Amino acid sequence: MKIAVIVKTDLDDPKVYTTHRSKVSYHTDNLFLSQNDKNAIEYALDCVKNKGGEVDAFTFEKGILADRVLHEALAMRVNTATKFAGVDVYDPLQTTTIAKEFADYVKKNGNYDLIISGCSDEADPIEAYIAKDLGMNFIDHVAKVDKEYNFESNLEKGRVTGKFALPSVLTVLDSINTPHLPSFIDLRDALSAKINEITISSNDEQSKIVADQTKRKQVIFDLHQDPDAVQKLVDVLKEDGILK
Amino acid sequence: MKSVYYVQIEDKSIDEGNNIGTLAGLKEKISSSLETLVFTNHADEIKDKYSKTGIKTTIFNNENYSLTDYSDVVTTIKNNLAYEDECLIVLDDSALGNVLGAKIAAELSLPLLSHIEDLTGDTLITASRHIADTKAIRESQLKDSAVVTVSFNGILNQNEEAQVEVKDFTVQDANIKKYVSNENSGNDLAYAKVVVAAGKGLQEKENLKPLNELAKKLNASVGATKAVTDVGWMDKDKMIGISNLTIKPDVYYAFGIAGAVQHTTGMDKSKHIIAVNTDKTAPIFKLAQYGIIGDANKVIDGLINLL
Repeated sequence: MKIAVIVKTDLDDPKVYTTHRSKVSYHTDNLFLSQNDKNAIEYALDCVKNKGGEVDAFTFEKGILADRVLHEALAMRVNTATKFAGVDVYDPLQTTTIAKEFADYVKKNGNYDLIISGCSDEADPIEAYIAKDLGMNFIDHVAKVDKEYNFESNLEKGRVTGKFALPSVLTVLDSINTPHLPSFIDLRDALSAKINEITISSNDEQSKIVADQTKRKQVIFDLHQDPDAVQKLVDVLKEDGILK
Repeated sequence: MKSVYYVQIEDKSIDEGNNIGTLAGLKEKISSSLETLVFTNHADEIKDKYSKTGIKTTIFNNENYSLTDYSDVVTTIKNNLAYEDECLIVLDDSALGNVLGAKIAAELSLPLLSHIEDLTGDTLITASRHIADTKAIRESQLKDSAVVTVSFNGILNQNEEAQVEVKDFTVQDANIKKYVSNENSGNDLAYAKVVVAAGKGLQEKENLKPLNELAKKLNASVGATKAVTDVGWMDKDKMIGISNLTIKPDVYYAFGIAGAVQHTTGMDKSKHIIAVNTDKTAPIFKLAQYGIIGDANKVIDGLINLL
């Protein structure tokens, strides 16, 4: 069985982007392999443990972050690690290009039975495009899954249940399992393991990252001193788009 | 952008997939031609609702359709929109909206921009959102067709007539997946975009009547603090706080609520908080972006008259 896991970081540190006036700075110190991706790796390893096979980790993260998340994946005992360099996977205008490059790579190097990734609110689901390009099923937001491929996928007020057939592409949540902690020996070996690199080019259209320069202040009226306070509140809420 | 299509799902057995508030908000922002595309299994029952939105609507109907039939919606949209230039396909920023949005975008080879907070521009639309919890904003200029998921608020003028056309569409997915409701799915408060909450500062149960009237005007769900539900003014399942519900609506109105941490833990992730309390030192004002220091009942009456 061949499984590909696409890994990335969790952009959950509020200081990952800091702003000063109009300048935006990016900081990667506190960014690591995302929790949902650890769960994805664990599920993949479980599948090959039972059925035999290999797990290959891929990332589209940039620079030092790419190496970091792949080292963590290798420490969890994936078989190979490959980074696709030269693109911004968080830019929604790049997603179709990146997905096509990945799908072309998969077609050349032997198709996967399962492609799995952790859900992310910050990266748009490149997995949907990969599934389309490779003619695979796509199941999103999987909250529960077993070795017979029965799954539950979360919606707002309920969940969708079903069974998927291989080949499929999944995005998963951290509720699917509890990932193991790598041993110190695995961590040591991971740091010296080889990471393959493939350079791909982005398309011309790119998004911009700008600083939020909105000055947020509190707007509190005092009805005791201003009999028009309610009218003024309504005006301000309409002006700020909260009331239509 | 030449045209904007807003996709809604109306399954008679499943209470998910549609949000008139977002439609209202979208109508305010978009000057291009706007049309609602509704996928349903009970067109006759919902036709009237969409005829009063003031927005041209096409209802795709098949009595065998289920909300879980994603590929049928994707195929129908592809058949109808694949050759349109400069069209924006909009879905709700919900779990269903994002799943469908991804599949539609992939099928049509269009960029998907999810969790969009604002759409600006006319011919050239810019979609923007904050990156995680940071002060950085990603702005994407949409030069051609795209799919976006958004969460806007608004109130529709329910008396504006709109043209509604009902068409049949093919369903092949044949219900291979099943939908199971969550335990609290019947509680509208848990998923509301706008919430009006009552605290003991309203003083008596009778004062909940005008509060409910205001909630109707705001298209809001009504909740309360534990102090209110403990004295029986409202059912316990409407209690917002550490002992019951944690919610994160787009707009939260707190009337006569002091802001004890057991309550604020259940609502402090709300996007916009408006507080009304007679006590200017009430902790709720530390959370609120907007507010009035004054009698909550008077403010409620004032808002009812103004809205």
